[in-house]
Amino acid sequence: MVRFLFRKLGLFLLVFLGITFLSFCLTYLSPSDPAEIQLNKTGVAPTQELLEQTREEMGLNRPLLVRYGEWLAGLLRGEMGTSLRNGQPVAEELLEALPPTAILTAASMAVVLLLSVPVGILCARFQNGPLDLGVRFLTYFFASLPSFFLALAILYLFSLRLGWFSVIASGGVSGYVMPVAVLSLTLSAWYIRQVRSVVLTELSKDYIEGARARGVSEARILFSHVLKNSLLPILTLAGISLASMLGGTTIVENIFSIRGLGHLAMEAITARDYPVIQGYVVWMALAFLVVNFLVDLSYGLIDPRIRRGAENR
Amino acid sequence: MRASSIDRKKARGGKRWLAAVLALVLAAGMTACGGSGETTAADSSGAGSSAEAGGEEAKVMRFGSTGYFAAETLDPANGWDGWYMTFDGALETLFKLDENMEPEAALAVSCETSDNITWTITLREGVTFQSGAPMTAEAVKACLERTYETSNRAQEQLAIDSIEAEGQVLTIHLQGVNVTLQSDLTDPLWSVYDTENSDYTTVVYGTGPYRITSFEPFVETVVSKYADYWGGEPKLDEARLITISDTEALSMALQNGEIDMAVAMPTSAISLFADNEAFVVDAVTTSRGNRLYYNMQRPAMQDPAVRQAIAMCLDREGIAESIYNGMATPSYGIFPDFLSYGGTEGLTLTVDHYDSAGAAQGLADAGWADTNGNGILDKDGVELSLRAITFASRKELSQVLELLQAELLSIGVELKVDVMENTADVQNSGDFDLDCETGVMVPTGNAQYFFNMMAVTGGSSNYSYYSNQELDSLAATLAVTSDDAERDSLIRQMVQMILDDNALTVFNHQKMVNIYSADVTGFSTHPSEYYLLDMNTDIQR
Amino acid sequence: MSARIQFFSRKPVTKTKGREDRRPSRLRLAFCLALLLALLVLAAAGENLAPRDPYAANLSQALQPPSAEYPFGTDNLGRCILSRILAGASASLFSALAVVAVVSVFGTAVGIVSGYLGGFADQVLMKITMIFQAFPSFILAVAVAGMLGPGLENAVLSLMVMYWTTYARLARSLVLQLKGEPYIQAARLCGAGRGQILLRHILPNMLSSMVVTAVSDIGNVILSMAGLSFLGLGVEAPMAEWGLMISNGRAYLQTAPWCILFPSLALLGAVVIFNLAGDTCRDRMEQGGGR
Repeated sequence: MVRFLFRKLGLFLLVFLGITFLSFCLTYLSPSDPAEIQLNKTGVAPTQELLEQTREEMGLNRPLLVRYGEWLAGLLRGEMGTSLRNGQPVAEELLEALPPTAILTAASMAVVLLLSVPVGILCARFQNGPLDLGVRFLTYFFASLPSFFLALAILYLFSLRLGWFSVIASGGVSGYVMPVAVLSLTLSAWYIRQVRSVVLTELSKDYIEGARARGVSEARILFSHVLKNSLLPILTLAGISLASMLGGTTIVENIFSIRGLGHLAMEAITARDYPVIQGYVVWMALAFLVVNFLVDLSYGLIDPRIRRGAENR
Repeated sequence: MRASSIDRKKARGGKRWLAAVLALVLAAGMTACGGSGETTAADSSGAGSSAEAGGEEAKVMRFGSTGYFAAETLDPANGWDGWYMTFDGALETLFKLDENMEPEAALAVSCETSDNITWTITLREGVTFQSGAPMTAEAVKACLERTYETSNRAQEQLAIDSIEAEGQVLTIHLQGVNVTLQSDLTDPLWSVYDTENSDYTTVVYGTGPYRITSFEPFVETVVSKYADYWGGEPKLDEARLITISDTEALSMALQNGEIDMAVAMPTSAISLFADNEAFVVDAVTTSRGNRLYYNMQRPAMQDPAVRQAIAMCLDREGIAESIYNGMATPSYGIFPDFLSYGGTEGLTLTVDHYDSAGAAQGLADAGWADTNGNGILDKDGVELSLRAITFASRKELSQVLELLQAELLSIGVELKVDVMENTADVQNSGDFDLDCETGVMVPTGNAQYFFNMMAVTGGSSNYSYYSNQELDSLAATLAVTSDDAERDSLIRQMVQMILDDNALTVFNHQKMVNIYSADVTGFSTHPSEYYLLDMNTDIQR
Repeated sequence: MSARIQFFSRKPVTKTKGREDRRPSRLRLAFCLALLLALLVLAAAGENLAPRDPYAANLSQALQPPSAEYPFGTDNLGRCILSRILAGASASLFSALAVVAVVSVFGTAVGIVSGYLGGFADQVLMKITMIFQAFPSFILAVAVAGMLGPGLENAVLSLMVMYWTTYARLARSLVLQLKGEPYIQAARLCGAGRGQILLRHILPNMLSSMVVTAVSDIGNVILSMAGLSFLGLGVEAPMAEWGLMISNGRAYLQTAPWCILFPSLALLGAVVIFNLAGDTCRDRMEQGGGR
């Protein structure tokens, strides 16, 4: 168990260093020179000499790894530089925008799980039945639909035509209903299919026939045996699907005017505010990493075989 | 239900914790869903029930705009923030403009001068700042001096030598003759605020009917009634000024009743409300000019033929009709017709109609040709590949650039269009060829304002980096000329210079369009674009 | 039909065994491929088929509803929407095809090297792949495109960064699987060189899996591309591209709904066709391949 933990922790650290390093290198993609941006801010016309001097002052001339080390140390202390737009600390800006995105993601994830797991199981059980066919058609449709079109259609229908929800998302919980619906519908389209296929595999196993022969009720077979044995893949898929959930927030937040991280990121991108873009990527990647690390760890706890297997390798 | 069935099965060995976690997740999910359902019901029942005061329902009015509530700070001397806070009903000036754009008494009751250099202004008695402090001449002096030192625009407008204060009498000594001081002081830049108690980041105290109680830049400003307002009791308890950056969301919010008024409604949405009795479309001609600057620091833009060609490629009639939905008047001059010195009469126009063939010819005559076969004109190694910038909140501007892009492409000029949240940084860095902007050109009716800011060498909004010694000296003359006919003639001479040089192009004058619920009373759109919420604004609920 | 549709990022493909759906008929396969072909021809010929110049602005015809003259109506600058959809097909579809072509070749190469060499190289390459996969993919694409600035090339590049890892992992696992097959062992015993084994035996055997994955990915790349354009990070105006057209049409959702409707339908149709083709190919291969 301890060795399992250490292995996982080692991997976690490696990936952590990897994603922070890549995020750090992102700045090198930008065509603008940070020194020039700094000079423009202060309203000084940049001459070659002045640029060189500013670069020196900002420490841009030091080796890449040294700068990465410093940046990483800052990151660990919670310092991520200051925004080019308004001079606010990046960490503070991100922190302010975090709650809406966290709520949006958590609520959407909950809806996805609540919707997809039962529907997926039922579709698998009644394979090729009317429910299965209907759901398969719908999932196909939603998976091929751009989420921004779905968002606009929902906004138009439910806000304007039906007047159920407010257009301006600032109005508390109700402001989250439509964005959560968009996010969870698009993701469920994928997830239901995954659950269905996992459960189909499980249903084809011999023990199911055995249980049926013993007269165990169908509901019990489905929701205790099958669900129990499918839990691991279902959990893994949920962890992975967080990525598209986080990606989807970028678009959904911009359509529903939710002032979350995705909205902030787009603001930063239009304003070429590189430190904020960088901070956004790091945060999102870390959130994704941590969740998947936890899912990974839970395997060993749920299923001792995996733990042993990991140790034997 | 499902959670509990899992519970029973999993109650073995080390898996109990998982069941607990799963149950928790499911439960959380369910409460989230249930919770949202409930609040929705409560929420949709009353759109205006958020602020309640002592049992009686508070009267709240909501304003929405894509970019009209753009204060960055609570400092009236910062940028255009004083202007934005005047919309909020928070700030007032010594004089204000009436419906005919003539200055009238506001915080000041009278204004006297014998030489147009030393001005004696008597202030109204009994006015208090929202902090409770009385508005004395001393307080106004401190405020004006602070603004003068902080804002570079302030120094462009007025050359103040010194200010004296005694009781309610304020004496301003100017550095030279200024015949238009009274109307200059109507600019919200010269708003009167309490320098003793304001900190400009969390709080600012003006003298207006509403006090800013909550401020989130580019999100929402909330103002509450200032009961001791000198002009009487304001009608509303609270007003919310909300930024809704998406045009569609803004019009839906108004259709839905989530906001009561859309301020400066993007013209694409007007047709939704035009024939609807539940809404008032209030359009007023102002001096707002939509304009294109040619950055003459850039090699291609230094060529007069290029500027002329671009000016000819602007389909001004089509733009006013289609992009502005008829809510703008095409312009070939600089100032709108309703001003005595406005229109194009008596001017020699360098461009008088849309003529893209003529533009192509003009470029060819000037020696621009596609020598390297890449489809883009060039001359002496300079490619006619230009960068145009504009900002996002005025939706029409980016459409104008997109149209221009298509027009220019057809004559071999490549235009890259960059639409930004804020163009200030790029304007400062000078990394652009064309800048499409909008602004009220003569808010006080005084053309000096326009020339000093946008045409004089080094003017703070002179993004063409235009420099013409002759025009500079005429502008200086204008400042000390008081005879109306003489002033108009000077202005026309300067306008002619700008047109001859194609220093900038004003392609139309736009109407200010506010659309509001028919329940709104006591409101009318003001031609100056200075004022929005005042003590008479009310809504019948 | 195996479930593999996803929205913004690539996902592991869950192979399904046992009581699966019936094997798709040859007719269905032919139908899907015909649709696919038609779509590609349409995209390739798009600009020539357009009844009008997709870039010619004509303000007097702005926001016209669909009519005989303009079957899909006109946009805010009076441009023919049908012509723009046809012209935009190449930007929307071929950029996605280019992305998939490049990432599948690159990713497969990485996977083969990793799987075939094994040892240290394998460790390093797979760790790198893992690090890239640790980013929520659409967010990585948004960040890369955001850093590079808008533009078609930059958007394509950012999507490549987002998509290559799937192929590396898949190729590696296929190579590992094939390496253990008896006939490969036999070939090795017969003295076949590394290169020969790779080219003659391993590559041909993994090709169909890689191609099917690639075809299945195209729909998602199209959607991601449109997502970037919608956020203003894809192609730049005035270029005709579906995502950008939808984004521009947003302001006319109520007053001129055709501005947003037709490009959305085009996008939806193309994605459905690619997904159908991908799924049908996969099903044929999985059940027909006799695994």
